Amino acid sequence: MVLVLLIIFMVVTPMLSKGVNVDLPITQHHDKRGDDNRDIVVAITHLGQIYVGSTPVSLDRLAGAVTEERRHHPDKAIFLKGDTRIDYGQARRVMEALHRVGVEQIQLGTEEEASSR
Amino acid sequence: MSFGASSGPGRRPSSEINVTPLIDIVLVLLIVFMVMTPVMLKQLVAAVPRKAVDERPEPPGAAPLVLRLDREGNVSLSGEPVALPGLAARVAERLAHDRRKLVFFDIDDGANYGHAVKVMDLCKGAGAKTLGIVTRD
Repeated sequence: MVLVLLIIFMVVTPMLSKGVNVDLPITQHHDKRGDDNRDIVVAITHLGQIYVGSTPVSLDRLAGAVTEERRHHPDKAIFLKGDTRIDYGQARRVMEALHRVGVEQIQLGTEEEASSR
Repeated sequence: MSFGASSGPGRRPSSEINVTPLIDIVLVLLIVFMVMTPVMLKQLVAAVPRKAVDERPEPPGAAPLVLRLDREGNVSLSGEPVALPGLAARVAERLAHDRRKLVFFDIDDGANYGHAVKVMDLCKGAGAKTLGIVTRD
């Protein structure tokens, strides 16, 4: 019983952090904030695939998915995790799609520069 | 069950493995993983910034600061080209007289996203409070 639980945790732990894997841009002058689980995470991988949370969506369906999510949790902010390798155009199209459904503020996810600590 | 068999007087010695230390170790490992799981999840997003991106139309009156980034990564500030190392100083100088601390970004679609965010970060470091994205609709 205990062994089974242990194995479940060992298997699930790496999967959780993998979820949607993006290399975030590295910045120095960002604001820090703990993860309070109150954001809708929109991720763009280096291949251009868009994810809302951990479900892949197409650009056309993105607006619908985010609207749906915001209907359940209207206070949730949008958190955009764009891979540092993508073209700005891909990120812009996502931001514009979000803007069209009434998202006024988007938070851009970045990684802290390791040497700045 | 096995305890009863081995504790009886004058019986054969127990041939079963003592699992108590094993369970101890397994329990400790289990607790370590249970504690680490939420921590790892948190680290994924904890070091992330909050950046305002808004697309309000430019207010009339004072001309806002528009930073243009082309696909080769060249930066120009309200029309005049600026080298990346001197950018922060120039933005800070321009923002000193701006109460709203607003910078608009007009970024070419072919530009690298990481580079674009880096430029936004520089402007934020130079004192910009609101970062605006120029749309093309």
